[in-house]
Amino acid sequence: MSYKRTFRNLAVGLLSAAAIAAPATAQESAGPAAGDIDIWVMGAEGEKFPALASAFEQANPEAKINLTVIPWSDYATKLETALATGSTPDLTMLGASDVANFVASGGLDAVPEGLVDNSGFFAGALENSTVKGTQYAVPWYVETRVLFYRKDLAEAAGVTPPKTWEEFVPFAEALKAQGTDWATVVPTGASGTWHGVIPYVWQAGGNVVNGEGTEYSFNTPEVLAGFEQYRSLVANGVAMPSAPIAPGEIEALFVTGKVASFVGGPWMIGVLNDVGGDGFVDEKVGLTLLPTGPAGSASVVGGGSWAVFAAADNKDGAWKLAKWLSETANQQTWFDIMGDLPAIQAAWQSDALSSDPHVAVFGEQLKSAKAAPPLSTWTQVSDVINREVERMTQGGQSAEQTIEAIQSQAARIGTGD
Amino acid sequence: MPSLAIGRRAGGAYNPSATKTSSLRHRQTITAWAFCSPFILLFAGFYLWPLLASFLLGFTDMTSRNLRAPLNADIVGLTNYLELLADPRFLRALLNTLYFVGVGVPLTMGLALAIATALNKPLMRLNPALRAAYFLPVVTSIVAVAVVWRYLYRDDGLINSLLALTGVAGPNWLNDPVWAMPAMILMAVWRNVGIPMVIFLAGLQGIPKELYEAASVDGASKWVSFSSITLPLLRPAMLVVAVLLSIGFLQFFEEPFVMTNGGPLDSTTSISYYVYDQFGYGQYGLASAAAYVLVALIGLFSSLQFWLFRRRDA
Repeated sequence: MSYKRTFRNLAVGLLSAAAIAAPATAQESAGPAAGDIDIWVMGAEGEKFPALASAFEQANPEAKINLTVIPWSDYATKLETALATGSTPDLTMLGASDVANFVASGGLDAVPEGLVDNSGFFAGALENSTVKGTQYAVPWYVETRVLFYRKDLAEAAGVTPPKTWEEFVPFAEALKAQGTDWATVVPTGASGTWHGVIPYVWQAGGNVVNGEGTEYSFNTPEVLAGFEQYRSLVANGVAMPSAPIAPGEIEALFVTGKVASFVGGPWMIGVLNDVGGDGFVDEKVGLTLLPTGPAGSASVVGGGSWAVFAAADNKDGAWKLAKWLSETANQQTWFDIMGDLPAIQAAWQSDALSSDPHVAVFGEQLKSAKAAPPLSTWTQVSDVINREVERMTQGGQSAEQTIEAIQSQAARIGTGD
Repeated sequence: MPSLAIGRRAGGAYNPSATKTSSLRHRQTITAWAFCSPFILLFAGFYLWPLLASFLLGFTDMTSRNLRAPLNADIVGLTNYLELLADPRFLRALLNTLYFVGVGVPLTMGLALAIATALNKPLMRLNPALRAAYFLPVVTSIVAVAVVWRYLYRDDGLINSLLALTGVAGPNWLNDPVWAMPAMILMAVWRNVGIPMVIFLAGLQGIPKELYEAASVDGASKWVSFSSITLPLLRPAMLVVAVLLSIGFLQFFEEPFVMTNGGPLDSTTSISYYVYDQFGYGQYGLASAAAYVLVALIGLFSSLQFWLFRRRDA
């Protein structure tokens, strides 16, 4: 923290306070953003962000964005360290499942009233950004998971991809007859297994928390139905008995045709083209919605959103930047730069987005995609789910025993209140 | 006369230090402390204080919620330790760690001793190359090594192919709850055999050759001279090796972290991995308590080894 910057921000703050009647602290001021805005962006989004940053600086000549790119693996530690020492940046990108965690430590400011029009966002994106009724982050991009399948192998076997749970077994049998080892692969215990299991729970009509979101509720009949379906996929030989845990292995199996389908997100298109060669996805891969269960379709919605720290120097500039990034035109620009799907529904009307058939599938799935529970202990409970599902798929534990074990541990961990 | 009495003890011996006045001594003491102070301050600030703070942390219920106001965490006494004893995952981690050390340390020591004994013979040209080859795994990067070994351990990987040549069907190493730990132990032994080998080589070269000549004159076989001459005289080296290896093996973390994520079914979760997980969940008090259980274990093992390899005067 340089004194010069602090002094400049102080001067700017005083001037803008003098220029506008002092509002409540949760309001943003009118006019363009000013001052230095320190932001943290993670991973690949961070590397491509400068293009957007320069557009913002052109629209707001007084503002300067200082970007720090942080690898995903380090970001939880860095964020916690920043909160503990009080030397936080102004604005940070957050992953969908992390908002609740950092809100619990008290380091984030609530989104000011009226900053953005929330009706424009996908419902799932808003769910990810809201904790206990208060919105703490502005959604930026969304992602959801759909079924990627080898359309060439399916055509050769004379089947279409499964649309419901029941259609999985005939799909698998036809493919096995053609020589494919496994019809699909689902996570069987690696981290992120909960991501594969929870859509089955939702498709069966259940939920892992009670109505108010105050308690975990894994021991309901609908949750049991979802887990039982998941277990049967592995037990009946439809899915690989022991899914790979290393990154890159699933794509390799898919490209060589050992596995005919898997559940993946939008980034997988680029990855598959890298592994299988250019045009692999267009020629051999189809995308379709996740098979529906008794209560319809569902998938998990994730993505990135923007949050401002309570200890930030330039909160005004930070909120203005978050708002600018959620404008339709800028959401479309970001799709062109990075390929991330916009969180604003109206932004999907652009040519690039409406003409892409893969994007259309993701858009359709987003309509029924839900968010994981925004609770601060979710990381710990999701690890419990990973371990118990591992026992279920690889250790022979029954679905009833699994949900009982998860419920007792989740009840012990609590919701973090 | 008094002036001649200064500095002379009874019997007339000259004692120089008695000629210093107490204020000179005082000044010298202060100067000594002043020179030591930078080290002491840094040591106290960056070593002792964090040690003490993390020990005290184990007696509080601090979680990531208390990040901005750490002093708001409550002192809960031994609750964290009791919670650890009630957590089946921690008990499994404890068992896994003891298993790893109990099998890995003797195996590494035995193998290192065997290699050192073999390399102690004057085979001249090949020796430096062989020594370097056996030492090489020590300096490799664990992440790179883990990636390669993960490929070796695949169901259709090199190890199973070699076993198939001899007619044995190898298990799916890293996915089998029974065989994952032996797989880790094998990799750890391979990686760590270099340092004990070098220490044992040094120890072996310190044993006088006349002892062996005397033994062979008395008609002792190779094995008898090994167990009666070499092993007892290597005891100090064995103590060093045992303590170093135990301290390293008790803290093993990178192998499960990179290769199995603590699985399958918690069979490769170590105490360090458990601590890492708990820190990730923000359970700082619980994680600190678990870390100090590990410290106590290390202290216990080291004391045990000091007793086991103590100098025995015949």
